[in-house]
Amino acid sequence: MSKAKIAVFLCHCGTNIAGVIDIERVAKEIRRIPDAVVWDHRFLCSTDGVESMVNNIKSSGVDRVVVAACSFRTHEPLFQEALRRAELNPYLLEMVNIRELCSWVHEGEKEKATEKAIRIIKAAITKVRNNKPLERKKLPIIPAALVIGGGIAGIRAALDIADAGFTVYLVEKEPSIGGNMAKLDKTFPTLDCSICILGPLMNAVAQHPNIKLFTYSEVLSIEGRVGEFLVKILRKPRYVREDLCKGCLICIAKCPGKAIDEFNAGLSYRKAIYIPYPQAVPRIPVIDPNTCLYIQKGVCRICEKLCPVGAIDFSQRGGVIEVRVGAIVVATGFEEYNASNIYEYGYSKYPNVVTGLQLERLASSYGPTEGRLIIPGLGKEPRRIAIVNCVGSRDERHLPYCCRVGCMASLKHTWYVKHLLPDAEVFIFADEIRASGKGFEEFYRRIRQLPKVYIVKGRASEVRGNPNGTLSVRAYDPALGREISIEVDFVVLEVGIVAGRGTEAVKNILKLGVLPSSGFLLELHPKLNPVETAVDGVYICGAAAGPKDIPETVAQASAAASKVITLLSRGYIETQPYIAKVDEELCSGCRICLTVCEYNAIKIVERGGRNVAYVDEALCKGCGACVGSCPSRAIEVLNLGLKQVEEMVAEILR
Amino acid sequence: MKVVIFTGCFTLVKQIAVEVSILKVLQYLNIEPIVPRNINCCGFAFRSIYPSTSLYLTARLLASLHNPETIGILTLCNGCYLMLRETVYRLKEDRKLLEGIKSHLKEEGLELKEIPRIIHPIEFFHDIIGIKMLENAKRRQYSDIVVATHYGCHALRPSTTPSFDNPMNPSKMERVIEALGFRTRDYPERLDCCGAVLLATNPNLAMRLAYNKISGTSRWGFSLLVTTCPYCFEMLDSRQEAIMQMFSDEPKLSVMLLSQLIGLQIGLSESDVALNLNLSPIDRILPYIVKR
Amino acid sequence: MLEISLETIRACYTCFKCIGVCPAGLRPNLFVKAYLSSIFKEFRDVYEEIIGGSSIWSCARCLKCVEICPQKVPLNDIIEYLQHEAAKRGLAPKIYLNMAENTMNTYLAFTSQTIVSKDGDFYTTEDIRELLGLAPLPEPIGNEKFKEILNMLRGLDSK
Ligand SMILES: Cc1cc2nc3c(=O)[nH]c(=O)nc-3n(C[C@H](O)[C@H](O)[C@H](O)COP(=O)(O)OP(=O)(O)OC[C@H]3O[C@@H](n4cnc5c(N)ncnc54)[C@H](O)[C@@H]3O)c2cc1C
Ligand code: SF4
Ligand code: SF4
Repeated sequence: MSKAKIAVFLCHCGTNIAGVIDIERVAKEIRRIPDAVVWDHRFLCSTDGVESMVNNIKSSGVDRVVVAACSFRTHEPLFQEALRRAELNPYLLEMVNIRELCSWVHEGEKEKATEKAIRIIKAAITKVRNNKPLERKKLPIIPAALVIGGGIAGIRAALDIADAGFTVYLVEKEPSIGGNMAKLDKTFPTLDCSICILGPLMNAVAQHPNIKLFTYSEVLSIEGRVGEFLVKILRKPRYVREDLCKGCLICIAKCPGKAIDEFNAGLSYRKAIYIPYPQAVPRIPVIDPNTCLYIQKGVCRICEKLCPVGAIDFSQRGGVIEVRVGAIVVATGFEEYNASNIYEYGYSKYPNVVTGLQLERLASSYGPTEGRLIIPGLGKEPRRIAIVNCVGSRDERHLPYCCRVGCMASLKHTWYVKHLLPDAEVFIFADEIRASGKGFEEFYRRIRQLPKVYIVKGRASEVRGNPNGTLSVRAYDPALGREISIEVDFVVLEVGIVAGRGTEAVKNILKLGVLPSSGFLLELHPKLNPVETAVDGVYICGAAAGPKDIPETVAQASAAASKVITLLSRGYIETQPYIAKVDEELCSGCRICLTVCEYNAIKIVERGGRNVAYVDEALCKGCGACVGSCPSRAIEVLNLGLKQVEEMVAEILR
Repeated sequence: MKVVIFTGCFTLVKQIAVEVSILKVLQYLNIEPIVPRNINCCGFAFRSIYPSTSLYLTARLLASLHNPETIGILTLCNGCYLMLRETVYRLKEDRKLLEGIKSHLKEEGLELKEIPRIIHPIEFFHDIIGIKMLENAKRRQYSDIVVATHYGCHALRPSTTPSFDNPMNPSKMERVIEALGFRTRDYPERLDCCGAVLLATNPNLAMRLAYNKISGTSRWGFSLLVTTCPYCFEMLDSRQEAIMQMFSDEPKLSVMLLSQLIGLQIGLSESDVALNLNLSPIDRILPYIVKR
Repeated sequence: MLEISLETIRACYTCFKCIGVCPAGLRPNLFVKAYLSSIFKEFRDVYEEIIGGSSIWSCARCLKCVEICPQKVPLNDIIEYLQHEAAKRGLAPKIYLNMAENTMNTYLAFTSQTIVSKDGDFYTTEDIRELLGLAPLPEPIGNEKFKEILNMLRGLDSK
């Protein structure tokens, strides 16, 4: 027997593999290959299995390894480590999946499964003969991070990263940070005042030496790779100089401009020069160019006259600034779904039908009614209130998923009403109350015990207006066993939530994946990598990554921040070694590969007077798209050469 | 322009005004109606009892009514309209079904060469005649008359089969009526059922549904309710008095066909649009609409 | 012929929304449940009760329930399915059978009616059509083949 060069390890995986595939026969067959030496093990990934692997590699003096077991996705790092310990380059390992691709899918055909296992193992042996030792390269990292979105998620992530000593650029499209949480009056299940717990964090952001805050700004483009992203940020003109403004807000008082107040969910008006709410950070007004009389019609400039420090500057044009960061956190949050789409509930048909967020504003002390619960348009306090759950949510016609906050919000909203108007009657319409979070069930019980609260365990069927301005909510009450029609003067719709336009914009810029049914950003792995994305160095958190409440948002934001901190504090990244390599002799510089590369990893460079393709090792994912596209066969992925592939195919078809 | 008119059985034998008024309006608009005589029942009533029989009956209509020189089949009854649009949809989706039906038709000497366009009267006036044309043709402006629209269930629902407007929030009938110079307003009972289908199996319940529709609509102070469907018209107009009596109430809602209202507005006489066949209390509104 | 998609029917999550919109006071989701649970012996009686009862014939076919169902359960299909099953057991309302019979013989479901005018005059269909210059009702001539096909299909539908 000639000296063996290739070690082949066969794993039984208990009965997972050995229950279907005849390991003995496989071993016998592989042993016929002159340069192969074969071992098998009941559980190769056990400590004992790995140990024996290391010893066998060392003692037999092989220089290539094939492991026929399960998926490389889960187990390759483990076996590569074994090679390293046996003093072999880890890329001289080839894994063959005889479980997922063989025993599991061919359970009923043991003969054929064994035959298939033999063939694919042989193919791997053929390939590994031509594997070359590869190295991972180390590339430096810019010790700064970009956080997109200044809601509670973005705020938390920015503070964590900044506290670890890294520079953070926080970009928020609105004039103030705070996001949706700033609009809430109280938060379930503990009923703490929302702005009271958010405000200090907002101020901490403003004062943090490591955080550079860009409000009223949007990310225009992001180029580069993990460790070195080049970010272009559009700063919309505020027409108020941030360096001069003292936040006295004298300018606002006399402004004649008028516009719908977005922050108050359309329930009031604001001036053309405004801050969205008293606690806004930064406390610097903006001029809305669409309603400013001077910008629209060339007359007015009252604010300019009033400002004691001359901060009003109508000549501002906005601009684009560039920053470089090593990592990115996307925390662009959510929007309420358009409730007018659910016709049966009469939103935008009746003034006394509002959404959950609108009720938050009505209950808020800095809302349009300064915390008095008044029916919009009617100017009086409601006596009987219906709260309708699952509006657009869990609805195949609109949003198939659960919004995960509506049930709790409906209970919280009941509390608002009973707190502000103790005599009012509240009817909740909910086919289910999902109260699975910490303290939620207890909160549910607490709300049930309030007087004059009635919970209908059926979805509201429709909301109909009556000539006297009241509304009738129809439903079926399973407890009573009959249809009911409740006349109320105020209806609150707990509307579903969507990822929103802000999230979509960032998704397009970063080429992130989204869940097709909802548009929420997709994580790398729903269980094991919940804040990572398919793009290295880009992390997601908060409601942009899926519906969630504040505690979960904050936990996820800190998780994303800790990933960023881990990355930045290591100081370098390792490239993945399976990258495309261009044979510059063969390359004709035709640029076809540039068009197929999803990661923009290829560019054209000059070599000895000729234009040739060049692959950026840090960007290349080794996907091989360029290989297939090259008409000159000039480009190959390392350890997956064209010759290697051809030989494998030939072996399988032999 | 030519258009095939399909009345359906109920218009043919009972709601004559539906046919008369549309023919008169078409004449005025210079559109040539083709009224085929080889028609049959669409099978709506017994569609669940004899599903394939009624499918065949509807498909047979497609074959016998189709006339390539026309823009399609103007279907006056909502029941027939549902049957025809559903069948068109199914036959377009299901080649095998189509072939089977074709072979039966052949036995009868009929041929389904192509699947014709099925047109609802509201769609006809809104999309084909057009708002501009109606605006120009109207004789008087009546800004203070507010009209309640009644589409009828089967004009739009179910939304799984495509129709001419948004099934949950339609607006084409409103736009037609506004083009004629009237006002319209949304009301909660707008898309409610007239109950006609239940006449056959549960007449008391049918009357209750119609009563709810009529009394609910009346609460909003409309001058007039307008519909196109002969069945809805039967319930809301012809039987209104009996229905109201049954619930110890009085007739209170004036009801007209859309084609009657259009006819009057473009200058046709009351007898042209067979207004003497309306049994609901239209007398109170008539003086505001017609110059006597 | 009547194909109902079990998958979409099973999607019902018993939210009861359909009940509140039914103008006829029916419980559309009960039809769904009766159909789905008929495979379990414990619930077979519910199915039998519904097939034999009058509720399925009290549906106004307004299709409101189908439109508002958040799970897009084809409630109209299930009601028609149950009506068909009842019909196969000979429980179809006679009036529908007559209409089908009429159609076979005369092409039309209805025969001549009495029509009243506002002035209290009574007319037969034929008279008033003539009076208003409308074409007479179609005549059933040469309809043997038609009858034959319809009879055959009705036979199929009754199995
Ligand atoms: C009616 C209602 C009541 C609620 N009540 C509670 C409660 O009582 N308790 C609780 O725990 N949770 C509650 N929630 C949930 C809570 O609002 C969310 O969990 C939380 O706001 C999510 O925070 P976030 O930062 O992920 O998103 P958001 O608050 O939406 O913040 C996202 C931020 O990103 C910005 N942004 C978006 N796109 C871009 C872009 N492209 N560029 C720059 N900036 C961008 C936005 O302007 C916004 O400031 C409630 C939700 C609703 C709808
Ligand atoms: S509305 Fe739809 S999902 Fe809800 S109970 Fe009725 S059939 Fe089931
Ligand atoms: S279609 Fe029938 S069951 Fe459904 S809501 Fe209308 S009457 Fe009720």
